[in-house]
Order: sequence, then structure tokens, then C-alpha cells
Amino acid sequence: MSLPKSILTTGNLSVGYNAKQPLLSHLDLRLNAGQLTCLLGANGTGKSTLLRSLSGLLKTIAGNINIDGHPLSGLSAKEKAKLLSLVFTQNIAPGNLTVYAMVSLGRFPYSSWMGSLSEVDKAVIDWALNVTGTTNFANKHTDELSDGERQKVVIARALTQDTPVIFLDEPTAHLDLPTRIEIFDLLKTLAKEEGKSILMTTHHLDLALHQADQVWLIDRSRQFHQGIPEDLVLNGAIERAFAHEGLLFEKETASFKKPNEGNKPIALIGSGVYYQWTKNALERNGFSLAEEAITKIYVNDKNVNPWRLVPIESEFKSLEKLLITLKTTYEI
Amino acid sequence: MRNAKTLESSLVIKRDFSWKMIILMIIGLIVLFMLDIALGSVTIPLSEVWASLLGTSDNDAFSSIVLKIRLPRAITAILAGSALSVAGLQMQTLFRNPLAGPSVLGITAGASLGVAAVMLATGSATTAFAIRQLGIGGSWLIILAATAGAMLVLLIILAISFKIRDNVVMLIVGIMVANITIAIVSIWQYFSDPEQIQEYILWTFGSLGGVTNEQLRVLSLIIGIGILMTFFTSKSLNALLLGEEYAESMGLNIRWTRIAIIAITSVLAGSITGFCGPIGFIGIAVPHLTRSALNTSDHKVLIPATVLVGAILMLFCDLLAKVPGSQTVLPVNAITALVGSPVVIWIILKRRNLKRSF
Repeated sequence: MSLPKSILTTGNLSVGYNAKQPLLSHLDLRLNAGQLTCLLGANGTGKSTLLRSLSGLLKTIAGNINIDGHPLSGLSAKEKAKLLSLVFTQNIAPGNLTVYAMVSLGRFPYSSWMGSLSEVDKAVIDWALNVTGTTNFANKHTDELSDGERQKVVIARALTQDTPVIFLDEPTAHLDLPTRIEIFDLLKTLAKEEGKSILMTTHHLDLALHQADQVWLIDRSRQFHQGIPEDLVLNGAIERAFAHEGLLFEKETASFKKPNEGNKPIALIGSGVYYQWTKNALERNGFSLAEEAITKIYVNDKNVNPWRLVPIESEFKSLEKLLITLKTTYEI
Repeated sequence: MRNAKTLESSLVIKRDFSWKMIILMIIGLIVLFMLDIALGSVTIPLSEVWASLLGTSDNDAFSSIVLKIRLPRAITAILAGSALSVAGLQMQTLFRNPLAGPSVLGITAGASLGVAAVMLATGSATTAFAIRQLGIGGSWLIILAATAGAMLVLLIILAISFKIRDNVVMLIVGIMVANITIAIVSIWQYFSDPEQIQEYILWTFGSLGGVTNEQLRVLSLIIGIGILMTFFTSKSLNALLLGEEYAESMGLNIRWTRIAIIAITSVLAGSITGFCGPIGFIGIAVPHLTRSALNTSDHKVLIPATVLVGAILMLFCDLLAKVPGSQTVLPVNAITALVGSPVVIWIILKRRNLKRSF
């Protein structure tokens, strides 16, 4: 397999608001073409600053940025707008515009000086509405949409700008879980099928690790790591980047958990989903799993009453009832 | 996503404004324009008004009133209404703030300072008389002073705008500069003679009747160019609807756009203020009325519509100011506020879409 082509590279880049104390320095980044790259890092590590610097909205302190072979600093605003489109966190869509009118604003760098749309412009707008699945509400006003729909419209606006590179700052913030997945899915499709090179910041570690082709990671000491998500989990980079006092990182699920501080030993025998959630319920209530404990719970989801408590030999229909019995009868 | 592709052919883009509304506005404008010419403190039969306009009237007095007083006054009303409204629309879009208007940026206050400088600083009445004797028309002097004052404030704000990128901060700076200017005028008034203050206060009441035919030509040209320039910026104004960052990311040069908008606004508002006095309220209210009526934020539609609504509202206010059937003429400044404020409150209560435009 050949290496993916880079569409955006930086050389010895330093970014930040204070030239004497750059937030991030000596960055040699490579954004892979046609891939979804997630920029991860704890709060305050400079994700948004990096994104703003790469897009030219913030002056860089040192180093250079190249987009599609052109040095960013040498591009006019209009040329830049044809290479790179942006989706910002703050989602202030003026409600007096229809979805179509708002999406068509993305043709700004191409449309005539009066902003009238050519046939090409209209075709691009139709395409952007189609791939984002927003065609159905093209005539709606933007404030009549749900948060997820509005986010898709904002992405459609970026698509009409017809740029090879798209940056998104926290596009999944304020969205519920299914919508978050939908947006991730959409971005992944855009990278895979439309060849867009997408860089997004996100706080949703789990989704990023499952969906991203590449991860850019800024750890707590402001060191930069780049790789595919799995490598960064296995080499511990993710854990170090998000390490938090009192939290444990589970490499199996790539999620952070509060360590189990239970002091009431109990044995749990079984497997599968029922086992997992029983474990969850027990640990949440201060029990710790220990094979040799006298109190044992047998889990079997084939039974009418899946939970059997030993040695008092009673069976339970729900975990809630099991927990009540455990607490009152055993006082452990 | 796949479903959407099959729907492509069924996508029909609705026009998000109504042509009927625009036509109604044009009719309303014509009717009010005719009414404004027909009505006044002197009762002139409708046939005579018409004859005067066509130049076939035998009555010199009537024809003189219609052509030299009422017609310039009505045209001034149209110019003032459209110029102030378009200026307000641009300010509201640029600052993404429903309270922005030409008066907020200190443009009106700057013009007032210029006028105050002429009226209060010419010393005794004899010096003022001497200036007039020199052959400089008193009104022209005031207009020049008003424009100079507006330009002075504009230059200060422009200089600051090179330092500040944030439009909300710019708006606050504008309000502060306006306050400083108003304070200077206040102090000046405090140390002035009562006769001088009276002349200045009369100017601050606002009047559409002080513009002569000769001045009207200049004013029409300035306002016409200003509105045309505004229309040329409608693409940039539309981009600004998404906020400055988005506009910039789409290739808009924020700095030059802002300079252009501020410059056009001060020419529009400054010249009207110089000729007619500080007319408040129109600049803030009309853009809201227009957006509500057409339910759009597209400036290619909004700018011409704002011109129409501004002219209509100003003519209506002028009609009321003339108090039909009486000899009195009320200060137009008071009427614009009296008429406009309840209208805007009503619109806000009826259509709750004011806020979503920002």
C-alpha cells in the first residue's frame, strides 16, 4: 500500500497568541488527502488555535503552511477560499434565510460581483444539498430545523465552496448521540466518496477513535502525535493525552472510567451482555468482583429470572431487585 | 442520504419574498407622494395641484407653492427616508446588531457637532450676519459643517477600526464617540447666547422643508450614488450575515468591506443630517419593518425594498407633521419617533422573527 498523499503540510510551524510563548511549536504536520482526520486533545491544549492558524485566520508565529502545493501566506483571500472551507463551532445561522439561500452563500468566491448564481453554481448547490441529505428542507428557514439538520446545512454550505480541504471546529458539540454518529458518518462518506480531506476537532473520543482515518493528538505537555487511532491507543499516547487524576483508561474500550473503589467482595459468574451490565451495576454500587467471595451471583439470560444469588438461593427478574436484596439482606 | 438523490428533480426553489409586497409598496409610495404634494397648510384644489405639476396652472401663487415648496419637500422626504433606512440596514448587518443605526455610530452626532460649531461659535449675531454678507449661503455653510463633523467622527472610527476586528467592540466604540461628541455640544451650548442656542435647537428638531431646488439636485446625486454603491455591496452584506469569520473564510476582505460600508453610511446619513437636521428612528425601524414584511435577509431584495419602505414611512411622517387641515407644522424628528416606535413594537409582537435575523 502506498502512502496517502498529503494535501496540507506544515514545516516547523509555531502557533499561539504570544510570539514569546507559542502554544504549540515545531509542528511538521501532514494532512492526508481524502481522509477524515480528527484533532484530539484535552481542553486548553490549543486545538482551536491550531485550526485557526492552519486556516490563516490567525497569524502564525513561525514556520510555513502549504495547501495543495501553495504556500498559504502567498494566497489571496479568494484563492484560499477555493482551497479551504471552514465550519465554526458557533452556529449562528440567520433565521431569515432559507436553507437554499444560506447554502448558496458558499458560492461567494465563484459567483459574479453581484452574487448571482450561474448554472454551475446551482449544480454545485444541488449536489451539496444531496450529499448532506438536506434537499428536503431547502425551502425551510434555518431556524425551523433541528440542531442536527442545521449542522448538516452548515456542512452543505462548506461543500458548496467546492474546496479540497474542509476544517470543522467541534461539529458534533451540542448534538445527541445518534446525531453525532450521523454527522461523523456524513463526514466519513464525504472523505471516502467525494475525496474531501477533512480535519475536525472533537471532544468525542470514542467516536473519533472508531471513525477517524487519522488522529492528530496534542497531549498535555503540548507534544504532537499523529497516526491511525488504534496505534495511538496501543502505544498509550491517547491515555497520556487525556490522563486525569482519579481516572483509569481502559484500553479495551478506549474509554476513561473512575477506578472501582468497592470494598464489598462479590463473585460474578456468567458471560455476555447480562454479565457486562451486572458488573456495571455492582461496581457502581460499591462492590468489587472477587472470584473467591462467599456471595456469588450466577447470570444466565436464558432463564426467566436471569439472576441467582448464592448462598441464599433466590432468583431475580431485574437487577434493581437484586441490588435491593443485596443491600438489605447482606448489609455488606 | 441516498434517498435525497432521487428527490433531486423535485427540488423547486421557492422565492423567499413576495413580488406582491413590492408592488404594493410602489403603489403606496406613489399615493403618499401625491398626498404629500396635495396637502399642506394652504388649501389648493386638486386640479390646481395637478395643473401646477404639469406647468399649465394660471395661478402663480398655487404653482409656486406646489413647485417650490411642496415638491422639493416631498422629494426631500423620499431621499431622507431611503438614505437613512439603507444606512441603518447596512449598519445592522455589519454589526449584526438590531439596535445599530446611523445615529449609533456617532455619524449623526458628528454632524450635530459641525452644525453647533457654525451656529454657536460664530460669536455675536453680527458675525453670523457678516458671514452671510460674504455671499456664502447660510444653509450651505451648515451643510458643509455637518458633513465635516460627520467625516471627523468617521475618521476617528475608521482609525480605530484598523486596530479592532470585533464588530461588537466597534459598535461600543461608536456609541462612546457619539457620547463624547454630544457632551462637547452640550458644553458648547451651556456657554452660548440664548439666541444662538435657539437657532441650533430649531435645527435639531429636523425639517424637510429647508432644502431648495438647487440644493436638492446635489442631494439627489449624493444619495443616488450612495444607494447604488450600497446595492453593489449586497453580495458582501449577504456574506456578513453568517458572521465575520465565515465571511472571511469565504474570501471576503473584512477590513475593506467595513471601510466601504462605514464610508457609504456616513455619506448617506451625514448629508441628510446636514440638510434636514438629525432625524432619528427611521434608520433603526425601517430595516426591521422591511425584513418582517418580506421575511428575507437577502440584501439584493432588502436594499431596494428598504428604499421603498423608508420613503413611504418618511412621506407618511411628513404628512402627519404638516397636520392636515391646520396651519401648524410639527418638528419631523418628533413625528418619526411617535409614529415609528409603536409600529415596530407592533411588528415585534406580531411577528417574532426580529431576533432570528441576528
